[in-house]
Parts: sequence; structure tokens; C-alpha cells
Amino acid sequence: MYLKNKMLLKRNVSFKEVVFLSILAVQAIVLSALDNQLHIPAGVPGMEIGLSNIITLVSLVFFSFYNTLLIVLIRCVSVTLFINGQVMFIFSLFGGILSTVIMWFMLRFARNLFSYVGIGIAGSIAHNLGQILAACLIISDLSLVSYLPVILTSGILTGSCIGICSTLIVKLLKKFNLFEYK
Amino acid sequence: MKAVIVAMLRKGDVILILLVVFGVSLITITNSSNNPRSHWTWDSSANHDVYAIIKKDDRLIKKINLSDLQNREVIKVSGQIIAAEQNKICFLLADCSDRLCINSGWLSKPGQIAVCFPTRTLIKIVSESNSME
Repeated sequence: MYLKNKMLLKRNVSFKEVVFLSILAVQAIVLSALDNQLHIPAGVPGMEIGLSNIITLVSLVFFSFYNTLLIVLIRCVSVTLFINGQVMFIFSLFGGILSTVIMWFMLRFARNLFSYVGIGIAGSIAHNLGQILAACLIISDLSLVSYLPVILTSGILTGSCIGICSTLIVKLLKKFNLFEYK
Repeated sequence: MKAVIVAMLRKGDVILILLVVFGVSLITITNSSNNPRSHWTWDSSANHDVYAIIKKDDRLIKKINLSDLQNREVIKVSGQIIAAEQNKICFLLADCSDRLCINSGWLSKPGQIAVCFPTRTLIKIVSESNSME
């Protein structure tokens, strides 16, 4: 069991971390399901408030990149693969992976330059952009790029909310002193 | 509350926000000057024909001239029903689970798109200039 965890998460993980990661994964599922119920009337296929990016950002602060990718995969498979329609699974997957990659880059290399609000904005824009790129790939037609202004403005608005929420959560978790803060 | 938010921002955040706002304004300005989207100043049907392109699985199925259409035309594309009238077109019936196509409503302006993702059906409106005066 311990060996399987080591191979799966590509790092030495302790039992405490596995428990906390699973709590985060369940939170991501709940927030993503809430996302699906709150439709914003933007007219763009698959545009959503990226509430699960909060979990992604918190998990990137405390854990490694591969663990966060696992949380994103669990969230996409549970919420969209069997319920909504298989197309939304591809959208969520692309958006989640792109936002994780960009947030990890910014956290790793530009920690002093950006606060969590900026990283949240970038992650939210990357999430929406990934969804639109997946849609363009499916219909093999680049005409959805005309929705770029909608993506960017909604990215700023939701991204700032995500950044503020993540700052508060990270502050609280640092006070508990459970894990080392990277 | 606002003071708390402003105190949290750093130099990179402000640069990022300004960059994005600049990009958005750039895109909207170039869009409204290139495409005939500003319909309130220019009658689009004067010298431009509005065509609707229906594509399924990346194959062109039908190209309809919306400006010349007199009656209501109904097209059936493998499970979806598309209705076309004078200067508008929409998805009437679709058997997909997420209903994004029907919720797009009537399309009338060039550049508007309605897509049904599970069946990969796409309606796109383009405008081409009428070669005859």
C-alpha cells in the first residue's frame, strides 16, 4: 500500500499527506459540482466560474505538481465524465491541466513578483482558454477564438476572487503548521 | 475591505491586469472596425449577403443564403433540426444532453456561431460581398 503510493505520486508521501490530499480532492469535486449548477449566461460553450482553481492553487502551494495533477484528474473524472456528457470531460481536463501548469510556473519562478491574486487571475484565464482551445480542437474550426474578450474579462473577475480566497486559506493552513510551506 | 485587497497586490499583479485590460480593449476595437458588427450605423444587407454555413464532422453540408430566403426552411442533420428564416437561423431540436446548441438561440450577425458538441454540428454565419450591384 505504501509502495503503491510512492510509485503513484512519484515522491515519498506520508500517510498524513495522503489523507490531506484526499480531503482536498473531495473539496475540488464539491466545488466543481457547484460550478456546474451556477451557469453564467455568457453564450460561450462551457464557460464556467473556475471555483476548483482555488483547490488547485492551495494544493500547488503545499504539495508537488504531480499530486495536484492527480487531484485535477480525480475532479474531472468524477464530475464530468459520467454525468454531464463526455465533451465536458475533455473541456474540464484541458482547462484544468493548462491552469495547473501555468500556476505552477508562476509559483516556481516568479514568487516575489506576483501575489496569489495575480496567480489566480492567470490560472483562471488559462482555465477558460484551455476550455475554448479544446472546443476549437473538437470542431476543427478556429472561429471560437472570437470569444477571447469574454474569456479575458471573466478571467480577471473570477481570478481575483480565487486569489483572495486562496490567500485566506493559505494563511489559515500555515497557522496550523501541518506541512512545510514551500 | 478594499484596502485589504489593494494591500495584497504586488507589482506583477498590476502589470498583468493592465496587460489583460489592454488586450481586451485592443481586440474589441479591431473587431468593431473590421467586421460589420456595428449594425446600428450600417445597413448590412445593402451590399453584403449573409450566408449560413452548416458543417457536420468538419464536412460542409449546406450553405444557405439568408438574405434571399423567403419561406421558412427546415433542414434535418442526423438528429438535429435546424430552422432557417429570413436573416436568421437556429437549432430547433437536438438530442444532445447539454443543450448548448438550442440555448444559443437565433443567429443573425456574421461571426456568430452555434455548436452542438456531441454530434459535432456547427452553424456559422459569414458575410460575403455581393458581386452584383
